[in-house]
Amino acid sequence: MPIGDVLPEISLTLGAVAIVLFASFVRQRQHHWAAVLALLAIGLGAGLTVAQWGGAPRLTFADVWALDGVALASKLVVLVAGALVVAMSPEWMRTDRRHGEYYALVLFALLGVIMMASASDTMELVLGVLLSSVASYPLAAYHRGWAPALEAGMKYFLIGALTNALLTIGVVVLFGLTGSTGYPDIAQALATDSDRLALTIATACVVLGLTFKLAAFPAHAWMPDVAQGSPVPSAAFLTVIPKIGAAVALARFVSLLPPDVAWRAIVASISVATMTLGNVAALRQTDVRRLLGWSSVSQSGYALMAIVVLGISDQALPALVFFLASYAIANLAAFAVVTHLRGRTALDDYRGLARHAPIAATILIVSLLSLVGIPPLVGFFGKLMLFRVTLEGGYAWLALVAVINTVVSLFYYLRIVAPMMFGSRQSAVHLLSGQWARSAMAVAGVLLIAGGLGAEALSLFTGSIRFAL
Amino acid sequence: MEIAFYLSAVVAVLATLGVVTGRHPVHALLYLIVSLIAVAMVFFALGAPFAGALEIIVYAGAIMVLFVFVVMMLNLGEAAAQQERAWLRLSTWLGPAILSGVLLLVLLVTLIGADVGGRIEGETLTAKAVGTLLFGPYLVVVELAAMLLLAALVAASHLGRSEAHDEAHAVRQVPSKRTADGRGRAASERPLGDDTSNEENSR
Repeated sequence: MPIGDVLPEISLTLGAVAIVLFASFVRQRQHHWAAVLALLAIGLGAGLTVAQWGGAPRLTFADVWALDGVALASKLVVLVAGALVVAMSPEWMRTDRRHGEYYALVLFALLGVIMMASASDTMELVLGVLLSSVASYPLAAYHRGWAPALEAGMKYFLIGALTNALLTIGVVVLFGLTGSTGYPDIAQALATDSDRLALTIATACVVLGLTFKLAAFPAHAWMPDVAQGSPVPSAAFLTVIPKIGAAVALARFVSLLPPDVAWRAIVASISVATMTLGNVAALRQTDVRRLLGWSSVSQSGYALMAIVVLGISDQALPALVFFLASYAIANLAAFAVVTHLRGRTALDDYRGLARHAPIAATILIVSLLSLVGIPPLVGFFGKLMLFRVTLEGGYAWLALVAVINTVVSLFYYLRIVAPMMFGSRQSAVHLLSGQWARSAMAVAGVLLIAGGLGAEALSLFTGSIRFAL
Repeated sequence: MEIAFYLSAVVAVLATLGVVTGRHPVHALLYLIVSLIAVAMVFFALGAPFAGALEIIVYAGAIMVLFVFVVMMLNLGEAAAQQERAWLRLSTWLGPAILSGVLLLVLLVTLIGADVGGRIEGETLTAKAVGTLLFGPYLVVVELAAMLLLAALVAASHLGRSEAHDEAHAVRQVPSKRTADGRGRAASERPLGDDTSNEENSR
């Protein structure tokens, strides 16, 4: 049994179990040590993932677990993002009576996302989606006494239950068609003649099931509510991390399909609908957290562009992973600032922030500009790679739609930036006291700048990644 | 095995009818248990002892016991039986009955008209075969399914706990909290994150 291949996952699992036990036996005031435990587990997992880097792409554990560049790179991004989320949480969750379990749930959700990214078997995909969903529902509704958080959690749960059922139906139909759940066998069975109608239905079901985790149209409706109502660290988690796993899982799944199934058209139309809807809805928001939620819906649409040209352009996968990483850092930095500002969400609360809290304001502005894709920030390189592979793949109209959307998005991001720079305020800015949130914000800001400066090196690093299958 | 199949199939159909028409919830549940056991017998007769055993353990055992507990806790009395009786009018069940009749007709036509061998048999799928699969290719999936259950347990215990319990706990915690915190948090203060108190203050 090749235990060595899943060491990062084992370290996350052990960390989560240790935290559950720790939180059961230790007083509530000491629960912030669970955050340290979680960071240790994530750090160990990241270290073990780096140690796996460089090997030839392969499948392991009877071909259900992919160990290739895409899985490892997305795993690293997920772990770094998870560490940032953990670091911005302790002060926010301090007064919650069950503070400790929060970190266990974060680790479980991370494990689920990593499973999605590495799954080379449909059952494994279903379990990964379920694990990350089940652990995320309570994250969204962590403040049980507060109605908006419960509402967000409930919406997340209802949409999740529906789409997870669709995903399972798709997997079952696929099993009926091919008699197998492993990706290699499925690819082999589909290469020979099979029922195209049933295959299209199965594909549509699986894609719909994954749009939930991607927060892409039509299962995007939970995203703005979660961004607005959930605890801000949870919102940071849910707007970023499941998306990475789902995008990779979707890419891995569609790469199995024979060319005559219209999956490119399906994914392209979802991409256009998602980015346009997210941007149009964000235009008139006066609530910063809700605006960030809609903006992250539209960012999913951009990410899907790379999946559309998968297999046509050989740089599609590097572009996908690089864009997801750049999006993750920028969005996490924005949410870290919101956490630092104690979850202030009305646009008026951000008036004059540049004068009263210059560092937080700078990081927020830089992260928003990176989300638009202004050079030389890291988001620019992410979008540049996306547009390039889309053009290479012959989807010029899709790239054009994305460019128009990007220009539109500049408008609503600047709607936050302008009052921060030029507005004035009488009341003092209330900040979250303590060092955790402040350091998380600083680290996210530094990563954002460093990512932009080192984009060339990073893209060299990810340039050769590909699927094992 | 054919006679066993037909006998248990008849029992399953009759018991399911009993579930639908039963006026007392507990009686209906008992019929449902009989029906599930009969279906398990059908599985045994068809040569799938593992599925049959699962049907008994999971459905007839675990899930139905939960059902019975819930019904007992709801404490439905004579009023519920009256209500059920009122619902069982001709106008209520006529529509579903016609639809089921159509399905039955389709089934009968298929059974009589089609060229069916008329034999009931199959390869026996043993627990050993299932176990070999679970601990062969599906090893990682099985292990991670255990993690899924653990995560679900933590989630349920967090979300399912009642507010009253929290309040009681908060009251118990007050003396120690006051000395340690130095701030003397009120016992009635809800254990929420910072955002709620802030956002309420700011409005």
